[in-house]
Amino acid sequence: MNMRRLPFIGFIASLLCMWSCSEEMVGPSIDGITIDTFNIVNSATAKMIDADFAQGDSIHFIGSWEFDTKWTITVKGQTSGAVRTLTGFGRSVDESIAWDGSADLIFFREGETCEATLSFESYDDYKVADKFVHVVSLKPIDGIVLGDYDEIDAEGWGSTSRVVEDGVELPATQKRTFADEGILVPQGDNYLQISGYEDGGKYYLSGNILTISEAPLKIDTKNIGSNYINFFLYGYPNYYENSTIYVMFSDKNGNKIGFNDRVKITEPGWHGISLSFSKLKETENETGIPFDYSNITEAGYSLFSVDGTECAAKAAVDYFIVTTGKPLFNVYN
Amino acid sequence: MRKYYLFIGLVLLGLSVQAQKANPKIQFNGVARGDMSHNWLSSDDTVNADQSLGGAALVDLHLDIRPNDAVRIGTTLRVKNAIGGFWGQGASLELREISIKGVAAKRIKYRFGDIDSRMTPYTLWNNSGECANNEADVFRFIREIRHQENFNYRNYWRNQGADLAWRLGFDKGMESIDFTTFAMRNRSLDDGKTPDRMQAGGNMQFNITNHSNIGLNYINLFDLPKTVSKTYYEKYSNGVGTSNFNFLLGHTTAFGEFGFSTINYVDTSDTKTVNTKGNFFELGLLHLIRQSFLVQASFRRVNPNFFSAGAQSKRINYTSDVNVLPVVGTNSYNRTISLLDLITDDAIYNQAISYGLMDYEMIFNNVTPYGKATPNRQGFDVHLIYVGDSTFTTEIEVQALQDVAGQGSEKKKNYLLAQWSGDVYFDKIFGWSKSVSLTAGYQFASASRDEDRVYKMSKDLVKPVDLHSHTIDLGTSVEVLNRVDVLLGTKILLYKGTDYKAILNGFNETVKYKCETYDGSQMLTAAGLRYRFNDNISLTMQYDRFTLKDKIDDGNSYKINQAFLLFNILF
Repeated sequence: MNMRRLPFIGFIASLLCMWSCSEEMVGPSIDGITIDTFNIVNSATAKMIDADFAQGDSIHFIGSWEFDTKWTITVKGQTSGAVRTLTGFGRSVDESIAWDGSADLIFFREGETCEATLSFESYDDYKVADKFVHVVSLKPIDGIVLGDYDEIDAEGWGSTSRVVEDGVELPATQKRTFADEGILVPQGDNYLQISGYEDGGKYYLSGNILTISEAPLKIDTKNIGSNYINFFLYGYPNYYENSTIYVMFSDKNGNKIGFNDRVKITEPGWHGISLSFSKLKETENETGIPFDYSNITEAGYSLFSVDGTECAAKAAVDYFIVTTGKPLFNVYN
Repeated sequence: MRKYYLFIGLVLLGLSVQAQKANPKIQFNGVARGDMSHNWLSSDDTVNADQSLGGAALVDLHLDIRPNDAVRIGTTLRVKNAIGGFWGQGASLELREISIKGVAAKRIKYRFGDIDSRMTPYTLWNNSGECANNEADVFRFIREIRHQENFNYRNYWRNQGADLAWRLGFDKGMESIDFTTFAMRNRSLDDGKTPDRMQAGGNMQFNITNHSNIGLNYINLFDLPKTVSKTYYEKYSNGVGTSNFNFLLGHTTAFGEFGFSTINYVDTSDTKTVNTKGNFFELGLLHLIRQSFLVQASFRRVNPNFFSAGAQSKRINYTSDVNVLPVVGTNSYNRTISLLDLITDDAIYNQAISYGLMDYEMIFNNVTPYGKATPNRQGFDVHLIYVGDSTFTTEIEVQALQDVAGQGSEKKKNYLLAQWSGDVYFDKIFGWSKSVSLTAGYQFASASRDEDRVYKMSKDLVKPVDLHSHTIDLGTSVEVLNRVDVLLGTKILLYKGTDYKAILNGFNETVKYKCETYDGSQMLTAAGLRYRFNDNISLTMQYDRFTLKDKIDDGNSYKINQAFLLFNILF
């Protein structure tokens, strides 16, 4: 054989080798996935399972399906609309997969019924568990609640320029329920709608003084950054891009700290906001004495427009709670 | 402020005219264009906004500055005033492009700024838009304006960066070696986490004889993580290396290209890592039967994981919203990109290399949505070209392809893409003094796959793949009076069947399949009158009628009428 032909033959052979290589199927099967079983683990035959989460109960799941894939169990409250998702990869779930009553965002309600659904990232197939969960009680959240608009009210304020919708002026603040606007309530039965019209004054449009029931509020000064003010914030379509929230606290001397950058709303819907106290900077100090974190006497928040240009701003808030050591939601930066 | 910009622009314009007179080192040319379009829905649509009016007057002034024999500076300034932007309120002045090019040391060519680049169909290639197979003049000239607006010159991508080219000549062994290298900025620092992205590459071409050569090509789209100061950052890299060759043996040329691709991605914030490798090859023969008759046949195989950002980015962004009358039909839905928009809407064009496979419209072409480099295809491509004696030309291309790997099924799809086009010049045949020509094009695209009749958990029947589409182009241009042309054209798209479209994540991994069933048609018809003042100035009046019929849900059917006036000056 002519040796000069060897490279050419080798080249053709390697291309033929590439051609003849068999390739595995691309992506998930269009035939779908067969789910053998999925249910809530409970020895009782009853369809409704009581869950007393405050007493340490948890709900366990069991299921198996055709092959390994990304799975999601979604627990949904039929009254609150609250959702908890559990995810994993594999072809089964065993009793180690459990729900402790916590929610992804808005809270479940005591007394409501929840259903669980198994679904998969790459398939339309799903299965709803035969058994349902009755929430007897929820785990209490470790923190100091400053306002929930159910049991702890707050004092409202507002500027004179109001938002007009359908010819009606909206008040600066008003309590709302699900029946009023069709918006899920993140905690309890009420949330607070706040609104105002920015007419160029670049001043607050509306807001609240929050009640410090366990006055004074004491923040551990050794680690200020591990203390958080948490709350739910709702962005209305057509308004959310114009609306920001300012949060502040006052000490016994009247010195104030606040979040000067203000909380912006990135998209419509409810958002969980956890703001570290280390983000709050001194805004007023006429005494020369440093802000006294061990003696906070007043808290509050205000609605502002984004940049002070003339526009209508509107948002809703619920459940202000101060926690230590652990934020309730993803920390706002 | 806008008025100041305009004032400055006009002063520059005046100065440049003066400069040209005073100094031949500065020359200018450009385009002036005024267009106005009126779009309205048919009278049976009583639900949606009925009419829209748009248009603009603009001047593109291109300055060509030659400080010396070795350097040229080119820049284009645009002054634009939207129709309805009264007293300058809708006016804008923008720098459309700027570049510096020259020759260093009489050896090395360089370009800097806005530059057009292309390599091979598997490395860096701007594939033509869909349904543009020898379309009528009445559509072609509008589409060309859209291409100019979006810097789509043939198969080149417009980017910002720099390139170098030089040649080494030899006395024996081979004629020369050509070197080309470039670096472009693909994306600027985004959100503090997403770093700057560059695209760089090069080519070495060994010219053995005048018509025989071997090329080595490499291109990489990559991040510069250190442009982000944070601990968390993304780092992406898509490298493609290929070798291509052409060998002339008598009247036959053997050609081919083969190579590999890699995707490497690391996101340190969620510890996601992706490593994907792909490959391809193409081998073919081109035979010159007669001086005017060419036959080309090739076989190619592109692995499902082959990804080349520069060759697979699409010219049209099918996720964009349409500009003209976006809400239509008794269903009042947001219509997707149609034949009408492919011709008339310049906002749907994509100007950037995309780091993932872009979306496409299956009814336009589901066989080669990413050109030759479409992943997961193997098969034969036969191309016949006949260039007649200036009286007619015709060509036909047939691609019979198959999946390399089944998509969501062990079975593989079979594809067929057949394209025919032809032009007849009656004035040349009959010796008429006024030009009369006929253009025609036809495309058949199909995908098929038998499926066993199985039911999913959701009780849906798994449907077989049987999507096919016909695209027909027909047009004529008749010079009825001196320099007055009547332009007529029609473009018809018929489609029916079912196919599954892969829903991808950002790294071309198939997350799931979406089953789409179609049965409908689109028809675009146009009649126009063009007066050519001279070879550089023309005025065109045109009426278009577009009809989309959805046989599955008639509430999605709609009709759009368009009247169009265009005044074009090249100077």
